[in-house]
Amino acid sequence: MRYFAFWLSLFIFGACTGSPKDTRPDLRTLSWPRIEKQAGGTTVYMMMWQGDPLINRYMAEYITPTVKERYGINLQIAPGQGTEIVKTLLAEKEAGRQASSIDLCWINGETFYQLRQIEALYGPFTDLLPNAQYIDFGNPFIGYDFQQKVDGYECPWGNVQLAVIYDTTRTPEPPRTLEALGQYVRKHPGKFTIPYEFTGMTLLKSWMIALAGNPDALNGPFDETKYAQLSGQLWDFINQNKAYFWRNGNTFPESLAATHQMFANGELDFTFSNNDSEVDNKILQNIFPATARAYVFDSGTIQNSHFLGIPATATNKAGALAVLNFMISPEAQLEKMQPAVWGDGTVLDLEKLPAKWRNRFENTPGRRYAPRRQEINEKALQEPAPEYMIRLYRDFREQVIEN
Amino acid sequence: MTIQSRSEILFVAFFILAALFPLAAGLSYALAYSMGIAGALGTGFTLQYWQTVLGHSGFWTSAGLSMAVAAGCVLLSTGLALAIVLTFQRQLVHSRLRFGIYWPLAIPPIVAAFWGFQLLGSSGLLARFAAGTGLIQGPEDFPPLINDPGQVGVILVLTMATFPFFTVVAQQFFRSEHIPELMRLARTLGASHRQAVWRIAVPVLLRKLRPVLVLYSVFLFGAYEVPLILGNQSNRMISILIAQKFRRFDLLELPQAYVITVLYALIVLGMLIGFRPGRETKGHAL
Amino acid sequence: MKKAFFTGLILVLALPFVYLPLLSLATQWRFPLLIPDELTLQHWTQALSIGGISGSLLFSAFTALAVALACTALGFRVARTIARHPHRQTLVAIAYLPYAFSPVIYAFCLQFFFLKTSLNGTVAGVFLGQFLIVFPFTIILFVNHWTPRLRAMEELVYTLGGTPAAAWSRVLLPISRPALLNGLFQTFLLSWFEYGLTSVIGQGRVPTLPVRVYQYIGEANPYFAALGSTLLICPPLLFLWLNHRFQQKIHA
Repeated sequence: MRYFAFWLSLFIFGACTGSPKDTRPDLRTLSWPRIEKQAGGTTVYMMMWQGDPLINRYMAEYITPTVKERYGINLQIAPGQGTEIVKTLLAEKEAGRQASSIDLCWINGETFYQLRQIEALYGPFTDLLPNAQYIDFGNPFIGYDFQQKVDGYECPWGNVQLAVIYDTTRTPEPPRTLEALGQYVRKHPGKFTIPYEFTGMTLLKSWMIALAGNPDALNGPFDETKYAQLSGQLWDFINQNKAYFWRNGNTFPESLAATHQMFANGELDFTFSNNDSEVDNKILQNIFPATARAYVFDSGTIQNSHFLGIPATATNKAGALAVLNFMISPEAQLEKMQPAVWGDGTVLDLEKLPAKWRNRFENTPGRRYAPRRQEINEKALQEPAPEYMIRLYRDFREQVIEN
Repeated sequence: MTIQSRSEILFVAFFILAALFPLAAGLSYALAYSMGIAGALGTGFTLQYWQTVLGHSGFWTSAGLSMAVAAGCVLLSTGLALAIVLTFQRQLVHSRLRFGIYWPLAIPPIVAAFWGFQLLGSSGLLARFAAGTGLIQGPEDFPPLINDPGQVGVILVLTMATFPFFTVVAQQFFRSEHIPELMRLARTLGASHRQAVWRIAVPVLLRKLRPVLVLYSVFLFGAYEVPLILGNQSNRMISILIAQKFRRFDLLELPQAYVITVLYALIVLGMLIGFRPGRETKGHAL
Repeated sequence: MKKAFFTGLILVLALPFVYLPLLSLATQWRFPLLIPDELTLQHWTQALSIGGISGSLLFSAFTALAVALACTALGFRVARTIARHPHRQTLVAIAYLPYAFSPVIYAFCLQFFFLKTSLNGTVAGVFLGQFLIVFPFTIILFVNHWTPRLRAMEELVYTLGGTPAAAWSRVLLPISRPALLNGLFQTFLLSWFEYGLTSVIGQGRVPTLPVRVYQYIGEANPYFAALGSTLLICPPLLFLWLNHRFQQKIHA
């Protein structure tokens, strides 16, 4: 039995030696060149949604090699989004781990809110980044994330607006109101569905605002009565029409990629994108037919930004900052904006940019199939408070899918 | 104590440490978490999460569905395996089938799931074949075989992955139990071919296969990759339910994830103790 | 009828091995095309140069090899002890527990401890996690190999004045070669195929091939998923073929 006790003690001893405490100086006291120097030659672990081949390619073929070349940083990307990031960091907290497995993560809205709640984010840090001077923080769609002030705890990375994608040959006159959509669905059974993921839930928020009849209806903190009333109407609308949805509304696709694929195959008449110019990049990739177009409902759709955050327990904050600073640099933002690359809207304020860069942004060959940005800007709705998103995820599951 | 017996104790201790200790520790933590004793969300001892899970239909439908899928696959696979062994005996010994029957063992579950998606999806290979022969006009006419509430795709793909293994094992028993000789003997004693099959071959094979069938029922009950890709989201198999409660659903549902984990462990334990697959198997457990 | 059944059977067995490589060579293979219009090597050149697939291939091969070697060696030796243990039945029953448990659920149970020891998201962690499922399996695999007959042979060596070392090197290992090879093969595959536990313990930071394939399925990139799948089924197929040749030699 002595041996067993020995092994056991070895195991327990092993279990108790936590990670070493971070003894490096506080980054806030360092100058940017010192931070860059500290970042050199390190590995940065980034967790992000990997549901789009183009975005993955932008990261793998542009960001990763460039930071490697300039700073010697080895950027490693792991898949994970939203709640997964929250739960990973919560589990690390529960285990009392001082060193997170993540250095940088792609977040927004309800994820940001939950991470702030469990105090898992590092910050404020945006003022440390030299390139943050160009960011358009004055724009409420950029400086606020789901009604929460960003406060330097996450850095804007891209700005987009939800758009509906359809094929002009199949649907010459797409429905522009909720009512028209209801009629369309009944006339064309099986051709419509709502993806049960971030984009689909964002669509539902746009509809809730449409049902309220006032673009500012959901601004301000979470309001239970308002939510109950509007979501009730929403579930009624969906459940009344559900029988005419794809697969009779018994199933909803769980990924946007799958929804895109079914649209491309002609199985669905509509797909959605949180990125108003995605239709361009999908046509360029030959995934969507060249007759595909995007539009925004008359009642408007949500415009929001997506952000990058650094966990409070990240072991390589200097590396994360260096990568982040590059990701918001004019060159990386311009590259990201090309429809053939990703087509993601920039968070930079062109007025603040040096003339040389402003020129390049203004003269870059733009979108051909997506609606014009100024046009849909007028129909942009602000993101409601994060609790709406959290509740919609749960209630859509309970009220629609499992009903 | 001799050196030899000391090392023997060490090996047993190592075995316990690797096979039993982590599982016991993990389940103890799960139990503590499920009762609010451990974890950041814990607020002290409570049975509230247990009440929620046991009182809500979600867990029961998942457990029932997983049982049904496991039973369906085992039944189908056993039927297929016995039919192949009894019908294609000559080919199993001499033709390319002898090698071919092993092929599916080279397919990992994640690839089987992907293959099922490509084969059975509404714009998949079968649908294209149907469209080519004019049976359907477009993908929307093809019956939903994947992500469907009936779990047809999950059952089909899991069966495709299981029956070759059952066939291989049944074939081994067919030889080792001298079933051809027994059948011949029965025929000389006046039994019909049918009787020889149903009264001798099938019962003997089933009795020998029983431990493998039980073990596979447990595996299939906890299957993950195939229902992850081909399953239906309002009707989740238990591994999927647990994984989603751990990863995707609302933060506050985390303790429920641990409740279901403990319940899953109890069911597996019950199946293993109830049927004791270990008693007679001979390491046929791939 | 019988013939149709046989043809159907061969089709079910062989089709994935034709379809998956073909899909990895296709582009824009859309409904309702039964066969792709054109074949190209573009996915292969792209994936192997930058796609991270080659890294995954190495990760997977390394992990599977390490797990197979460690589990087979230890399992073979520990199974001997268990086979001769007075509580053999109980111990073997224990070995079934982690093996029968769904790996992904086991991983969630273990996650807390792996986080505590900083093993989450590391190759060492994935190795240990896989070891914890595969090692008990080797006990089940080898416990019946240690028959009374083998024990009698071992004791004969001692009676004739041989040392334990001689018993192992001259008798036990040579006679067990086929069993050991089979053990290596099966444990390699268990690790090579593993997705559920690896995705949880590895947190996506240990991108083995199955993890990579799942990622491609998730981004609706069927060509890359097919490419990863093709790579996944090749080594086991090779093993099966070698085993088949080996068997044929024995029978010949």
